[in-house]
Amino acid sequence: MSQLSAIKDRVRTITNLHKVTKAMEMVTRTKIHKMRQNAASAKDYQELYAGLFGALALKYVIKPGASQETSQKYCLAFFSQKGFCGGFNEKLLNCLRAALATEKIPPKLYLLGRFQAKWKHVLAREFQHIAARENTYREETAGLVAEIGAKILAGEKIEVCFIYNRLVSVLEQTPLAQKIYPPDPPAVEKEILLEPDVDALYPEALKGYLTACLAKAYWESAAGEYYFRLLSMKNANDNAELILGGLLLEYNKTRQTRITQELSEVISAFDVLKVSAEKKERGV
Amino acid sequence: MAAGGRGKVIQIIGPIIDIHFEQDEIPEIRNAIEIRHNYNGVKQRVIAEVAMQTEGGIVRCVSLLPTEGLPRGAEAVDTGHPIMTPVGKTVLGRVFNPMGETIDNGPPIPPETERHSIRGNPPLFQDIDPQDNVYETGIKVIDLMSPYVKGGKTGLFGGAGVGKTVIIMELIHNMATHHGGISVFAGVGERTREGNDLWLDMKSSGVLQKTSLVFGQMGEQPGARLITPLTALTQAEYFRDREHQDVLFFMDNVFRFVQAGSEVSTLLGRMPSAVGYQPTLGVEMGRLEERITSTRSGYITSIQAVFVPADDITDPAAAITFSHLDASTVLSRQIAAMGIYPAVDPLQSSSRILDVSIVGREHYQTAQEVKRVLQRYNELKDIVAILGVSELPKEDELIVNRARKIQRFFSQPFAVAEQFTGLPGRYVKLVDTIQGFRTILSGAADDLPEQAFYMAGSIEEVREKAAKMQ
Repeated sequence: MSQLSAIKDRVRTITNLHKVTKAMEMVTRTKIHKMRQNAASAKDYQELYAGLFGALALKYVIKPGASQETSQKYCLAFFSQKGFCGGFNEKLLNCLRAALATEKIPPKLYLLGRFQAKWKHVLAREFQHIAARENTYREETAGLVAEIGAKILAGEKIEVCFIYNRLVSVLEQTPLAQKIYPPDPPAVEKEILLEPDVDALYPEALKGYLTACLAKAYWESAAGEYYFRLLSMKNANDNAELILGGLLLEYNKTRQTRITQELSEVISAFDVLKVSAEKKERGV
Repeated sequence: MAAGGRGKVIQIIGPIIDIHFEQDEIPEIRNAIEIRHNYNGVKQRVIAEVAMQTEGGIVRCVSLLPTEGLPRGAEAVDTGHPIMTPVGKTVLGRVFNPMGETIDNGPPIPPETERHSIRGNPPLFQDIDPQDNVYETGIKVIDLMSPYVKGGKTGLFGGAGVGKTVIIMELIHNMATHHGGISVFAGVGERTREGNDLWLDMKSSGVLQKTSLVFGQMGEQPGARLITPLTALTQAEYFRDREHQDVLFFMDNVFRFVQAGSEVSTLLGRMPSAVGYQPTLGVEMGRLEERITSTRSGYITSIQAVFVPADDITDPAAAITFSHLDASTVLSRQIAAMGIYPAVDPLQSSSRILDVSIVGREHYQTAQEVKRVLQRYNELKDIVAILGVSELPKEDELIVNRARKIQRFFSQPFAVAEQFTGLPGRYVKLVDTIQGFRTILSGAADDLPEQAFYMAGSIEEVREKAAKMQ
């Protein structure tokens, strides 16, 4: 009996797991459309803003006396909000480690997303953690954006780098370490008219630019997380169904073997009894 | 009854012979009966053992030799005693059949040699002397998870082709060569070739002079296979009781003994019991196992291989053997399928002496911790199969990684399997074994690649392998 109950226990475990993964897949499916929209609009907005800011930055003259060497580097890595998303975090982690390995001065590291505690021992370095929930991430990162903005305006030569999973397609998200500031000069220089002047506009534009970049990275990463989750939950469901099928087959086979054995024992015992009864009758 | 009673064969069904004796000449149960006859012009001799006495002076005997050509009406002679086997120093270095005759083409056993009946009795209750000393085998997984008892009984359980015989051969290699004392080997119903291999192997390693081998292999009659362990045991008992020696007793395979009993049981007219086994399964096993024991006069340390039919450990034959043993090592097909040899299942294997007061705190704690890690890994296996390792919390991920390393570290190259693995055998001392597993459990080996743990001896060897890989 022990064998049967062991199989039954496993069937129960896997059925429960299967329920969880199935529910997760359904939840992900309902949310994914909104995420995709957010990512698309954030991407468009950032592209526009980047073009504008690039042109503006060309005209802005850094205060004299500012240092020429990069004094500080900021690194923001966008991890997932929840688990159950396959290799999403691992891919990003590898990219982050590769990026950090090449740095000479240790950058200020910020990890966004609630699912980061696991990487502490892997990174083995100081970092600050921002939970960055979907509806509050702006407020949570506002302080950081202001800090970076103030440093740039004060004339410090700093670098800002975002590390996130770029959304290529539903099936493909590639981890990317993207330099946000200083911005690359625009390919085509546009004629722009500034009112009142560049010095008045630059601080506002800088803040807007950083926020737009953050929004793009955040929403692309978030949408990527959902796509990853959808895929991994689908795989998990397939796996669970496969294992369940095998287990049920094994269970029925074991059960049937037992029945067959018991039947044959009963029948043969009955036959023996019949023969011995006959022998007795004949007086042998 | 006195010897020399003569009877006539009246019925032959396979190995079962019914013989009619006159009322005052009826042989006793277990007496050996000799029948001589001619078959194709060749003189034949059949030895049978009285198993049942029925009405009308008919005794039902189990033949130990083939009954081909045996005619009804042939004359049967009662030898007046059970099967006897020579005992004492003369049996060392020799190979016997279950009837106590040599089969190695050597010089005949001198007639003045002492002979004992193979149907002895278990030692008395007050003479039994249970032992609590660890017998180091040099096999990591066995020494750690199911330490063998010096002077105790140990079983090796496993389905077909998971490596029972290889392990028992390795144990003979490790134990008999280091043991220095006398060993007795009973080959019951296994491959005849293996018996020959063992004999040649022992001869070349020089252990043969301290060993007696008794073979009733798969080609023998069920009656012969049924008494093979008894013959070997009688020889072992002599060394224990008369010469006060520590004897190593190996048996491969106990299940064949049960199977032989089952083969004759139905022919004797007994109604089969659960799963078709003989109704006397318990008493047959009991009579055998109770004799394999340590007494005040000497120890018998026995290692018995037990075949597990259809990998079902709850099979009556396997289950009944379990209860007699001090330590049991269970081999598993899943582990063998992973390529990990010896395929010992550390969670199912157990030992009576895996106790703090006997093996010491360090050994006990290491074994328990290894068990805990492997158990947790087993629980997590389904989750890993469905979701992948990355979904596990950090602690569980570590457990999975360590458990996989532990599993691989349980594998070990064997001296007797050198031709299969191409690796020289490793004998790992118990201290090194414990040290190795403690290193894995403490996390000090977390950075070593999993593959380095496979087929290694000590943890130092793992480190060397890892260094070579990088």
